[in-house]
Amino acid sequence: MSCVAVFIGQCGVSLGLEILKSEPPFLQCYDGSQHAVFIDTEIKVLRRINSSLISSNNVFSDLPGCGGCFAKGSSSAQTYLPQILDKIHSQIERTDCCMGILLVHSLCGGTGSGYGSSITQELKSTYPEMFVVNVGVLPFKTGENPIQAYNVVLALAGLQESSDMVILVENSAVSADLSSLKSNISISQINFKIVQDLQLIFRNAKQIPNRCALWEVLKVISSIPTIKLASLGSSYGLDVTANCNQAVRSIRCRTGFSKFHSVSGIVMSSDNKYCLLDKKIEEKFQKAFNFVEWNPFPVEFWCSKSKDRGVNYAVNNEQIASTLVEISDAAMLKCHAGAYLHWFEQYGVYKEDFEHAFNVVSKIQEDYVYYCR
Amino acid sequence: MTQSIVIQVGQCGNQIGSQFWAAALKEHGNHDSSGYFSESVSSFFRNIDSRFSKNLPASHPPSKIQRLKARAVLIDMEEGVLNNLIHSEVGELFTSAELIKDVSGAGNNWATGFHYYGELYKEHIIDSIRKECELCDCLQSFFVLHSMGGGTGSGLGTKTLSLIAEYFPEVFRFVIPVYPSADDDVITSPYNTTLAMKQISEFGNCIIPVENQALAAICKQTSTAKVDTIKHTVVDVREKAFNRMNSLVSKVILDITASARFDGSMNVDINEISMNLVPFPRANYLIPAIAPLYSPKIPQQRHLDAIFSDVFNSSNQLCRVDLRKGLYLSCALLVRGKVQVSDVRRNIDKLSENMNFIYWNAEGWKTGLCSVPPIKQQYSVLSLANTTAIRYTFEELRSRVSKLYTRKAHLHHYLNVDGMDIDQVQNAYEDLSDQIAFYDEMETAKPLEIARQKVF
Repeated sequence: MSCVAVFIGQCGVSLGLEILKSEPPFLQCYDGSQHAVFIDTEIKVLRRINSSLISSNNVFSDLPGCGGCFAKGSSSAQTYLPQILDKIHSQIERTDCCMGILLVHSLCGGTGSGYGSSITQELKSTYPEMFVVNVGVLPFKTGENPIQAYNVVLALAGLQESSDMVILVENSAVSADLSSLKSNISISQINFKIVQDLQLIFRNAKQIPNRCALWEVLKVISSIPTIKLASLGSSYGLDVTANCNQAVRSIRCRTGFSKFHSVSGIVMSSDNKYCLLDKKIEEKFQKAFNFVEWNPFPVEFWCSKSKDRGVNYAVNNEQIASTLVEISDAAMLKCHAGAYLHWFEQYGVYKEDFEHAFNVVSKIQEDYVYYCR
Repeated sequence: MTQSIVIQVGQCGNQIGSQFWAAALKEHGNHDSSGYFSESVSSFFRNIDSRFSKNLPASHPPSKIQRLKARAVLIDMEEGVLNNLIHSEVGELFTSAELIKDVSGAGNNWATGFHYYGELYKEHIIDSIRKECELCDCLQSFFVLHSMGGGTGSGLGTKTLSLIAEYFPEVFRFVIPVYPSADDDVITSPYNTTLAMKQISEFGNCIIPVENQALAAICKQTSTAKVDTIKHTVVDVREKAFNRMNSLVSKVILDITASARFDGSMNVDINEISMNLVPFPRANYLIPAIAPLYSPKIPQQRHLDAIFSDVFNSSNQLCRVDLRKGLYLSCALLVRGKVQVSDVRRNIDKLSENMNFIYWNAEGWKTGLCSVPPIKQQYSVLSLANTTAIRYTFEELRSRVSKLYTRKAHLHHYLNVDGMDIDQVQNAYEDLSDQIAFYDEMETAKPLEIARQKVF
């Protein structure tokens, strides 16, 4: 039961290096290496890859820069797609039974959004029986890139069509979580926290022995094909009760303190003894999730063995759709003013593509409202 | 790793260039003194084995530096500056193939530079640039340095810009024009500037204007040296001042390319600067400002947050505009040194409160974090502000040129040059007005009422 991971762009590659350090079981290959492909336009970030961790066969860097623009990334991806797919295919062949592909990339840059979206669409059509899951990183609300709203919306339109589950990670939320603990936060600390939040899809839990964690999460979270956006979080470093309370608080924030409903969720507690959570704590989580009435089995509680003690959760909640609508509105303002459109038109993305993307985000919001109210 | 070629035209361009190459060598030497030809060094330099005149590419692991040559093309219609450059300490960086020179100069006349010398040296210029391009693995950008007020810089410099736009359209063109001060000693500098502006607005992807008077003011502010005029001649004093001013401009180029050359947690590639900061083809002027500013003789440690607010002070700008009078269309903060993303976030949030962004780009910030600071500094910030406030600079220029143009004063010097006619002057004047009108439109733009379906 293996998967292949593809890390795209500076954000994706940095997260990928962190992820591989924790050695997820479904990425392990029989010869000790891991099933991963790194794709970036800049060789600098890739140089950081420890050669013992990954061989050069897995690195694809012969690419021109994407200028922080989805259109340039997407058009450049079309040229290099065959070679990239080749690399991914060679990794798939090294697995014994490939169930699916995990892509990790940002949604606000050029390489991450453009290549990420194109590769996802191509993978889904090439391997229809495998699942494709994306981890998309949303930028800080104010300014990593003036055209981040465009990039996010256009990338998401592509992912909504082809991906089986999109795990959205918000830089601002992660940073806010960390800032309660310390004031000086670096990108590597943010990356570390993101990977900690993502452990739910990497660790083997007792309730799902010998099965691929990513697939199990996909089954629970992405039960309805049109609403498949997941949010993941975690709390580590305190004792069991404190971790749980912190996680509950975090979930309540995500549900807008019971203003928004969740469709489904998973909670995984990790420690060195496989302890199941107390019934009372399970009830607290259920209440915090604020599940919809029509789902008879909305939640699963897992436990896993790890040397770090903590709690992870995953939730499919409608609040994420509101975040996307905000981003889409910002993009719409720009589009109607005609800003930056000349760059996009130069690389084949026209106003109709923007309108289509806005409609997709609108539809996601409508579907969430339909299923959650 | 991508490469950039520097094209320096005219006296001003070449003098800035000489400061730039010295600074670039110092920066790379400071960062990695092991003497290996890494990919970061190859962004501005070539490594050649002079025994066989062979170009040694940047490999991984890197090979030792044999002899460095600059990726540059030097153009001047007067011999003096180029000869000084060749005989200076950075002279070894240039090969004769990269030099294009003549004897008589352009007489502070844009038409002579653009039409006369432009036609004469067109083939030679394209050839030299093409040879330089072929020696790059992955050429990403040109940096064109020239003055606006003179003849060679403004005329031949803009002719060169139009040529590279025609022959190398895929490569980004950064123009760093030096605008003359209001009390410039060249009477026809308003004509030269206006005629050159039409060309750079059309053919430059990103224009980073600097103004002599702003540079002089910064140097005055940061200088503590009391110049003993008995010991030093007036020429020496002026030369030292120009050197310091030129080194400020070279700092801007180094800061823009720092993220492309060195590692960092949030890389900003050179093409991103153009694609993310220029929302409309006409809105391609980016005002540079740097912080901290201090003289090496009296190093002060400015607190990091103070540096972020300093960079929006008019006294730190290399082209003075009153930022409070305009709207920001976008703004980049390129940070170098040991700065965390939380510091940047905190300062952006603080600064945004007092800054007016245009309604459709309220989050129009571009941030870059490069971990290598400039030499002798812990950290530094370069801001590139795309603001409508630059229209006031253009309005001043327009009023200066109208004083001459309404009386057709000095025009005969221009019209006497083959290939020049009055229409070009008229077009350039109208283009300047159009540019001002464009910024006016941006300032008065209001959001349309967009009907959106609210689903409840």
